[in-house]
Amino acid sequence: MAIATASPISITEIIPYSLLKGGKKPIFGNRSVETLLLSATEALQQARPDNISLVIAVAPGQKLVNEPWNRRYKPDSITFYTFFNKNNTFAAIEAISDTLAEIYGQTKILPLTDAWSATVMKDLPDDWYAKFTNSGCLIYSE
Amino acid sequence: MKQEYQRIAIRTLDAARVTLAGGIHEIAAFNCYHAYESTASALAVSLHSPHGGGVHHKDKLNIFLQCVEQIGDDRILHQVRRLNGRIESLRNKLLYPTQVRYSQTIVIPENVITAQQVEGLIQNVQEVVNWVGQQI
Repeated sequence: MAIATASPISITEIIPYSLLKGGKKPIFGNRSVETLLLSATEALQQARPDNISLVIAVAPGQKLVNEPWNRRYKPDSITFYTFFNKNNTFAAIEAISDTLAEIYGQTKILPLTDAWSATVMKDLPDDWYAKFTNSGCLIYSE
Repeated sequence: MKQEYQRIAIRTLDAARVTLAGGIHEIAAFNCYHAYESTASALAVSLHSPHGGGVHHKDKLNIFLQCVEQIGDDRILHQVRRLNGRIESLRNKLLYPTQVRYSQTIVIPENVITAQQVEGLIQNVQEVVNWVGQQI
């Protein structure tokens, strides 16, 4: 899906799965993946990091299937696309790494953070939109 | 081999401090990454786990976590869980600029992290390097 404009479309409108209210929840095929994402949502909602506005997890191998979270395999990492309001990229990386440290210890799936300023959200490249619309899972929104 | 890895970790962390003092904080942060991965390899060697250039970055970090769990020091275990995510997420952002298409926004390495944050990162990595030094 290519959106080549600075469209005002909300990213939350194009995410196929959501662990927040009102969205379609994925049917997880792997228990560790399910634990990581559900726990991450809960931890972020409790922590409510003040510089993070939106967090979307993207399934590894997202180009291959329509229902990527159904797969049984356990990835070695999952990337959390994180949009932050203030400060710099590392502040967001630090917040996610610290919040998910214990969950990582439990699941052994390394939570990686790809952090971007919230001001560039509307200007995301089309391959990002493709990732999100194929396999994005909304796990936190302030 | 474990002592050689550890020596690289110590010297690279020294380089991080020198580079930070010289005002090039993003390279100091990259040195933190390399020091961390080197000390991880030192521990991996001592516990007969895979190490070195043939092992993917993420695998090295997961192996490091397994090694620390095997030894069982809760304080360092928590630090390693935090640092694994930080270090691997940070690494590529410290090497090249990234342009967001359809936008004028270009993110350059020196804007990814502040000098103050690098100072904290050096301290965190130093703690882990010291601990590994006691284990091997």
